[in-house]
Amino acid sequence: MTEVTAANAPDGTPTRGGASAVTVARVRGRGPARWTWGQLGLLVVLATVVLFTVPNPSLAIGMLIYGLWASGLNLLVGYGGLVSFGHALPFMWGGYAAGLVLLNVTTSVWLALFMAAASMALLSLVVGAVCLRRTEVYFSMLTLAFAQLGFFIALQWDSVTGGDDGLAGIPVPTLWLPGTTLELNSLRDPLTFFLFTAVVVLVTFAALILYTESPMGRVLQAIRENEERARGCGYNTRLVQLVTFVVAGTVAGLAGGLFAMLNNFVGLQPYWLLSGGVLIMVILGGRSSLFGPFLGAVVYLLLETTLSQYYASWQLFVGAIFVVCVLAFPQGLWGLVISARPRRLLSKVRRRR
Amino acid sequence: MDQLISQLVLGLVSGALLVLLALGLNLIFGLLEFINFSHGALYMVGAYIASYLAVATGTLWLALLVVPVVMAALGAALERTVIRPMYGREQVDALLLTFGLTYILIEGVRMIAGSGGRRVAAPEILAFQVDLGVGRPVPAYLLFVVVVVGLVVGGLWLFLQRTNVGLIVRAGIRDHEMIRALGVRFDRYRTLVFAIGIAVAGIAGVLTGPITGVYPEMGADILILAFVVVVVGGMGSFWGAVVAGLLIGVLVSITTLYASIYAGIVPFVLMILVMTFRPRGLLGAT
Amino acid sequence: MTDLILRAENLDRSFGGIHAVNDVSLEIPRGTLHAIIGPNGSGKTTLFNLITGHTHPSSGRVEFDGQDITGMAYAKVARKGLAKSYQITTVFPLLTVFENVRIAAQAAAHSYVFWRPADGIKAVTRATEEVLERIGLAADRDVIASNLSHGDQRRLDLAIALATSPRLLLLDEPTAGMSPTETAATVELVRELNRDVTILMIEHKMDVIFDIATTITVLHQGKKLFEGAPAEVKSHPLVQEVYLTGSL
Repeated sequence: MTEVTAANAPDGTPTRGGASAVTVARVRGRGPARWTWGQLGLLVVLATVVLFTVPNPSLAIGMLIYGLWASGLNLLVGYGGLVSFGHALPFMWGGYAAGLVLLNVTTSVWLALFMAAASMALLSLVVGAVCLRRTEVYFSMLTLAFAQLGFFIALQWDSVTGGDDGLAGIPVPTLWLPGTTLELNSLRDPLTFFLFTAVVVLVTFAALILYTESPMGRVLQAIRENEERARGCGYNTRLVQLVTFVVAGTVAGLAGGLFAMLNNFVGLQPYWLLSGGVLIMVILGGRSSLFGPFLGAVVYLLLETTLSQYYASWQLFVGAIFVVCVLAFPQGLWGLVISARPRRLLSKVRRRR
Repeated sequence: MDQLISQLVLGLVSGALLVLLALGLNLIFGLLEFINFSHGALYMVGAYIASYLAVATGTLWLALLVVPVVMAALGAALERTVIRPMYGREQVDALLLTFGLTYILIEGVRMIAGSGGRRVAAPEILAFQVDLGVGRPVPAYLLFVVVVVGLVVGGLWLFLQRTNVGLIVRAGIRDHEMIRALGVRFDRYRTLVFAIGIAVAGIAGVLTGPITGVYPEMGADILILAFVVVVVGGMGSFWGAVVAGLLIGVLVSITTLYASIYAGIVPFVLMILVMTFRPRGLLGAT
Repeated sequence: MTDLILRAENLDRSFGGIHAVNDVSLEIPRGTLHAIIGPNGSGKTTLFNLITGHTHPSSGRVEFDGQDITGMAYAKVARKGLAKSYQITTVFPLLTVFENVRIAAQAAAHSYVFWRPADGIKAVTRATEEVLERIGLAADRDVIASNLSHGDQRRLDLAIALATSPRLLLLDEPTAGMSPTETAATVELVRELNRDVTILMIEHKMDVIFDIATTITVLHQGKKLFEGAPAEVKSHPLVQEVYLTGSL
């Protein structure tokens, strides 16, 4: 290490360089490329494990949905260095959008999901344009404020959203496929629902990987490292961040739509618990990859369901996990696994000699 | 008309409490360079301590003296233990850490005091109404709150302007490079500023008790409003926080009177407008 | 009329009473190596910032390759083919050396592509490798930038600027903080780069400049004191007084 690691931009702002980014670099750097698309394989493995080990089907499906939501958020948090405290907004919006389509327009899965994602993409464009007027702390506070605003609107506009009671009685959606038509009933036929969700989640996850691997995704990381320099290369850095914001919002909208179909219900939850929860999944799993947050979501939901059975105050543990993660291992669970791997391999090689 | 006056006074009071939180956030952000997400939860803790002290001693007066001291000590301890490792790391790490602290504090209070709220009685001396000459008489306690907030704000201002410590703090806020250059010697100023910010939040907590009672989530809503105040006023701007705090308090309160369903939205609309047309805030420096 | 890549006319800028740049004009013909020297606080860096759009001039205008770029945002100026290497080393600290340069290399043609992996774009990979080869960092391509030595970081900084294929390269003290050996290597590199790109550089070390510059502008207290070929500058009495003894 040299003394210049903490270089400052000419305007005096320190270039960011935290532990999270180190792990990103580690993953992105020497010989890690196989983990980019390999994440897709890891996800298949994880989904299979969830399918066969989690007894509660609604929890298993929820893990896939929350995992996708968290992975999408990590585009902003880990890859972009933009911590959104309001990621409940696109999730809830997606839920209402899909629910309203199913209730009032058609029971088509495709149209409901399309509306959830597309309407959220449009909304993200507007919200992002305001939130990205300033970055860092401002961004966090503005996203939080928008989530709060959305919460108030959903609460007050009860003729559309059902207000405090939520959007109930969403009909079972119909899945039109070439040749056949399926009912996506999470209660009567959870396996079909799980498999459908898994396919949607895998395809979306692959798209997220592609995004991080594309030139645009690389620039996003470069901006996190040094925005001034990225500008000096000729990039409109705000545009790159805005596109990322829209992508993350769209993915969350999609996840929210799936979640509404899973429960046939959209409940109005306290926005900050929801936004906080998904953020904890990201931090717990690790900010340096897309798979990490997915793993974080699965582990978090497992902890939540187990702990809440025994302790009324299980959120105390959630807070503690959060603090310990940030303090002691900012690279998260998946970061720990990755950094432990080479050492173990090395010791195996030594033993063989 | 009578209602408008009463509502204005209520707005002024809630705005004044917001000002206290926003000033602490602002000071901490200025010197420690992160937004203290646990500010609301610590305000709630202060309110709870006051509610127990009030029951034990039969009056709020002691709490008003003791709570700031206890909260300052708590703030200093937090800064020394969990927040200090965050310096030199990404800003977001401190944000996330204090976010986790919020969960612990809220849930901890729930465990100890239960999830229901507690009522706090205003001091008996202040249990009378004041006739302002216009509108209906106003509870003396509300006026007392405004006066205390005024004193605290004035005290903070004098501390920053007139004392050597305040001078160093202000210099540090203006020039972060200088803080870094000073290195280790600056640590105790960061502890001090964090402790002051938390103490002020504690005072706000004590004052809130008799108005709304205390409950575990009381910090969450007001924290977000305090963020809005900081952004609208201009990050790092002392008077910006004061002006924006009072403005938002009054605006919300008047909207409640005429179009109550929009009251929750007004601060955010204001913030979005400010961010769009004047991103540095009403009184913020460039 | 010579073929000018950059023309700055009567640039002026003050900061709170300090006249940082006072009525300075520059004309830089294509292919030359133009140096700006002057004591600390003479306005060199501010002049740079006025050209790149970091700072807006109070008056005057800047023309780049026949186009008015006065007050244009930095990213836009950069897109037009003006690259800057920084006084304080400015790289993407936690990305690999290769990634650092690729970010710059892809800017021209593939900046906002999100539908295909960056690894698959052969032209960018080739351009990146060429720049690394030229700068002499090819062996370190997989090293995390913040782990490079100070001298190598400066070279990486230069490589990023070069990879955007600029028509004018602004170098802000490229040898600052370097050992004599590193300095010599950088001077050689700058001379080599100058074969196909126009260079405007700020430099503190006189000996570095005199060898390689086509023209030298001497700034003093924000004003242009003298401009001419290295030999003229060296022998000019006023310049000697200001620069070598540091007083006037």
